[in-house]
Amino acid sequence: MKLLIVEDDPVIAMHVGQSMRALGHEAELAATGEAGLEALRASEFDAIVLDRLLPGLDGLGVLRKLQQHPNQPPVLMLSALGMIDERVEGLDAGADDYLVKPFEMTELMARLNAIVRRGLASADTPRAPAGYQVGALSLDLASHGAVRGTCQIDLNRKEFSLLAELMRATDQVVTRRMLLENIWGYSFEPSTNIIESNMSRLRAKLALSGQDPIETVRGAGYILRSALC
Amino acid sequence: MIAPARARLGKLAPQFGIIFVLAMLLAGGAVLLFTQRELEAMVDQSLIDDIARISAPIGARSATVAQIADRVRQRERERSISEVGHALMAADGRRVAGMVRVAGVAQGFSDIKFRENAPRIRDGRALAVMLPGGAMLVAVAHSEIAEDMERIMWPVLLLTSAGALATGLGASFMFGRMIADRLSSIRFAADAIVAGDLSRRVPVRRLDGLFAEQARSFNRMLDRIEELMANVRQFSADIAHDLRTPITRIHTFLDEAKRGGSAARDRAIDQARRECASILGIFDALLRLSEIEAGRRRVNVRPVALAALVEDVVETMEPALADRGQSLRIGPLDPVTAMADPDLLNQLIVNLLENVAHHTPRGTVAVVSLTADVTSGFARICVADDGPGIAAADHDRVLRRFVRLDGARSSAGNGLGLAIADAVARFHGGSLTLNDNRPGLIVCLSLPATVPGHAPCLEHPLPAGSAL
Repeated sequence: MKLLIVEDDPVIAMHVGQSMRALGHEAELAATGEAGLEALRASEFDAIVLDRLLPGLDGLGVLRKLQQHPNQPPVLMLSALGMIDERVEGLDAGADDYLVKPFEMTELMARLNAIVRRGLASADTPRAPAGYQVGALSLDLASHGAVRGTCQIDLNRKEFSLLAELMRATDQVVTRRMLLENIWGYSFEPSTNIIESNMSRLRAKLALSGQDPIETVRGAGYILRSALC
Repeated sequence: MIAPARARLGKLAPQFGIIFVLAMLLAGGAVLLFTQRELEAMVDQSLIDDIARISAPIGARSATVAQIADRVRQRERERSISEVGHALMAADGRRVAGMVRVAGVAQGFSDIKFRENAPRIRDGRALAVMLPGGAMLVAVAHSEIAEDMERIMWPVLLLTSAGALATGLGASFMFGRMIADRLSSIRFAADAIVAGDLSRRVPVRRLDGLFAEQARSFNRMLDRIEELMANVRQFSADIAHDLRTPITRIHTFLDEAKRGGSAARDRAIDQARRECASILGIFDALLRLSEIEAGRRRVNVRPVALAALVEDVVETMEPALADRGQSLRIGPLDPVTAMADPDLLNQLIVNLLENVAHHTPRGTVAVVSLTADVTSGFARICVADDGPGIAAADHDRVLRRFVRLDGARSSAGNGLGLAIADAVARFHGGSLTLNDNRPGLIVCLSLPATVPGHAPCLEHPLPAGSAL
């Protein structure tokens, strides 16, 4: 991926840039909102990492300018401001996702993949899918049914949502935070292993019909391997 | 205490006074004109009546000049000063009867000068009619009364106006002063607060009506501001105090990392990272508390079906508790709706269940129930467990920030879970109570709600802290 990172703190900017390059992506840095817009005019990017608090034109200002021109790359907003109204403000201004500092690099990567994937998907199929199919595994969103090969899999609401979320991001890492936000809508951090416990129930059920296709990625999250479905 | 400087009401009082006086003058002038006109009309009417009587026909034939002359003389013998005088003149202008001497009177009404008995020339209102044969009958009303009235009325008017002016200005100034006095107590309180004395309130005792209402509103606003300020101060204090420990630990680990070999270094770095995570957890919890208490979550409040919410949380937490060897069950769930922030309710129930997870042993059974009390209009969500429970003496204390009971000090958590739960309860206009479950602990959230088919839904959630 070719990424634009708009961040005024040099330490954070360099760290993000280096981490991205280490993973094989291209990263260009901009220290102000104006510099970021300049860079966008000059070349094409797959995604933008945009800090909210910038000197001069701030992150929200950059987003508003981007709204004026269609077909912009998806934007992941970074911020030290994490309260509910601040999140909503960022998303309303046009950010595709909002990540509060500090964050794990794996979190940033997983979310970037997600917004790029969503961007490509909505370009191809604007309507919401009726279900997901990966290998022998298929989910029907209307009936809440899950089938693997010839086996009917009995899942409760949470397990179904977990599987759907992983299938939507097949072969890409989905972090615990993403699952907490998207499936549970919790804006707080639980102190128990809610995600792990629910996930292990799901995996136990899947294991009844073949190999467990879900892998735990240490320090990152979970991934559904299409090869194992 | 410095006496409040009385603010001047500015241009308001004199403006009001001037308008008042002008209005009085206009009214007075109008009355005067009206009265004058009425008097004139009455005089004219009396002249018409008089002429009609004197020249009235006798039987079917009109009166002759001689007969009219007789009547005139008769009249003059009988009349008093303030009545009408007459002059009857023949066609050639020769005076036939009447004491009034008048020259060149036109027919109809006119204002004339005349003499009667005395050489003095006087003003009067005359009505002259032509009689058959060319004679002219003139009736003259003395303007004496009118003259007297006029002499009296203008001074009276002036006096009244002066009185009105004085009263108007005086009243408006006094009124202005009274308003300024009442407003100054509010201004004084505001100045004191700006100077830093947040406990100052406007005294309501000496006020009434609109001013008392104003003062009470103002005082309520000040209560709220004081509460918010206290929250901010508390927040800063909490951060300063409770973050020192993990920060000190990180400091220690970094020192160890510097000293030790690579394995020790890695371990120390991991520990430092964990402390960072725990600091952030405290930060988030404190921010959440601040957010709730400052009312910033109002935007999220909407009608929530509590049974579905409770079921959802139980479905979520059951695996987590099962993995610790504890079981979670659902008790009775009444169909109740409440105006609530679902995110906060989720956090509250999750907090309570996490407390069960962290502070009760394997084998503990927890039950979550939702009951509706139709008479009080409240719903109760209760989390009951059969674990070690909490001593009654600690039931209130444990809802405060950073209170960790002795047994809990080493286990997970930051001492803010119950404080947040309590804040969420109050935000929704309800309360959180702890009780002995015999054995174990039962924690209940009460909040205003609707049972379908019963009391109407509360449209507006109550402000945090207010009692029903």
